[in-house]
Amino acid sequence: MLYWQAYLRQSGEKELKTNDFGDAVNEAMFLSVAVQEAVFLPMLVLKVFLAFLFGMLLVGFGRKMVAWGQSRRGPPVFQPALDVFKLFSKQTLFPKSANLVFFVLSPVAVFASALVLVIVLPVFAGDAVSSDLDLLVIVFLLLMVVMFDAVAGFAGKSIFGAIGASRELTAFIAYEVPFIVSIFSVVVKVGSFDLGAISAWQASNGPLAMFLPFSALVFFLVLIAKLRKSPFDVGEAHQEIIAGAKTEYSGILLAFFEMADWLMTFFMAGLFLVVFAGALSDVFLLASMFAVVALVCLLDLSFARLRIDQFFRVSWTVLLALSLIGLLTAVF
Amino acid sequence: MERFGCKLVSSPKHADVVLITGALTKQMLPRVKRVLSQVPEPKKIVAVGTCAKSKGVFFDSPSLSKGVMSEIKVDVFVPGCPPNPDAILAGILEAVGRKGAENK
Repeated sequence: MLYWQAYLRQSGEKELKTNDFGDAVNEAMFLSVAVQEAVFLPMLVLKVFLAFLFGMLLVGFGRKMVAWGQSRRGPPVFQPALDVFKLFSKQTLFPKSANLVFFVLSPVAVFASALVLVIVLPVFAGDAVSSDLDLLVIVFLLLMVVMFDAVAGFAGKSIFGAIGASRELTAFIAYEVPFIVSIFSVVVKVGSFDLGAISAWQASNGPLAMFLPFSALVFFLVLIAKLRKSPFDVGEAHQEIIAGAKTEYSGILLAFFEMADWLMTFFMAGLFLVVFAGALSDVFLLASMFAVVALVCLLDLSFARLRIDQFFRVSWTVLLALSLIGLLTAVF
Repeated sequence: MERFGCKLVSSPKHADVVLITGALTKQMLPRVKRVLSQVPEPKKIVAVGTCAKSKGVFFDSPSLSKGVMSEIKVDVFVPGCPPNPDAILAGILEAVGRKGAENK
């Protein structure tokens, strides 16, 4: 870890030239590195905690929005947290025919991937955990989330789970190419995979959504599919296939899925804003996240679900074409 | 109903409260029992309507089972034919142990 290397180098130098004149400077630098090192872990914990809190509030706010659209009162905003507390106190059932290893592993893996995604996102603690390849890491971790969602569906050995999983994978094949092309157009425009660099670029040049409107649009539509909202909620079509891949899950394992859902909502809304809406202050970013979720929920209310083949066709024609136009606007 | 935090779920494994909303036929009974066995503990069962409780107008039908009373452990009965929506709501809230629903 970089901080540690700096720390060791600093302390080594310090011993060599104790009576040097540059000692005060050295001491100050040593202190600042030590402070960074000490602050790093608490900041990370704080960031994860805030992500949980606001992810939960975003999901609750979404339910409130849907209730508002259907002229209902809706649950309190913190209802998702109450639901998860309840799930922890409930019995966890394991189907006799299930593959137990994957049945237990996949919700944990989905949750863990979502957690790492949130940590990579440069909000709250700034760019604490950053690499030059942020966006690539994110693409692969998003892949992990989808894969283990599908594995969960197959592991339960239930028909509904299997249908849900196969649909989820089909939807994934449908939207992943436009998604990657739209991310790639951002990379081409900015010349970096690093989210910090993308923020910095936008701080000096203005939000990327102005330069790449088509890529932003494609990203937003894929965001709807990732959050499993209409018209792209083919994987979790609750009127048709019970609860899709999560049909066989109960108790703590279901709670892991719910919490992963909060984190994913937080992450996808956050990523969209960080990549396309420019360098926002944390408070404004949070407010915008609620706006994004509100928009997604309004679309969810207004549209019927596409059939999986329709979704596939729309993805590979309209979305792909839009994302390619986005790539062209990035190149020229 | 969602204002009390109740949500309609389609998988028995996600459920806390199960509503039985009609007379139990002999054909239906084993299936109901099977679904109920898939609901994780703690669970509550609410029988909604006169039909569910005591077969109602179908009392002399030969295809009905002995009735929900003797076959399944029901926690709350909601009377009425048809039951009042508020009564159903009150029944569910009583099953989950939440009082004071009439004030909301």
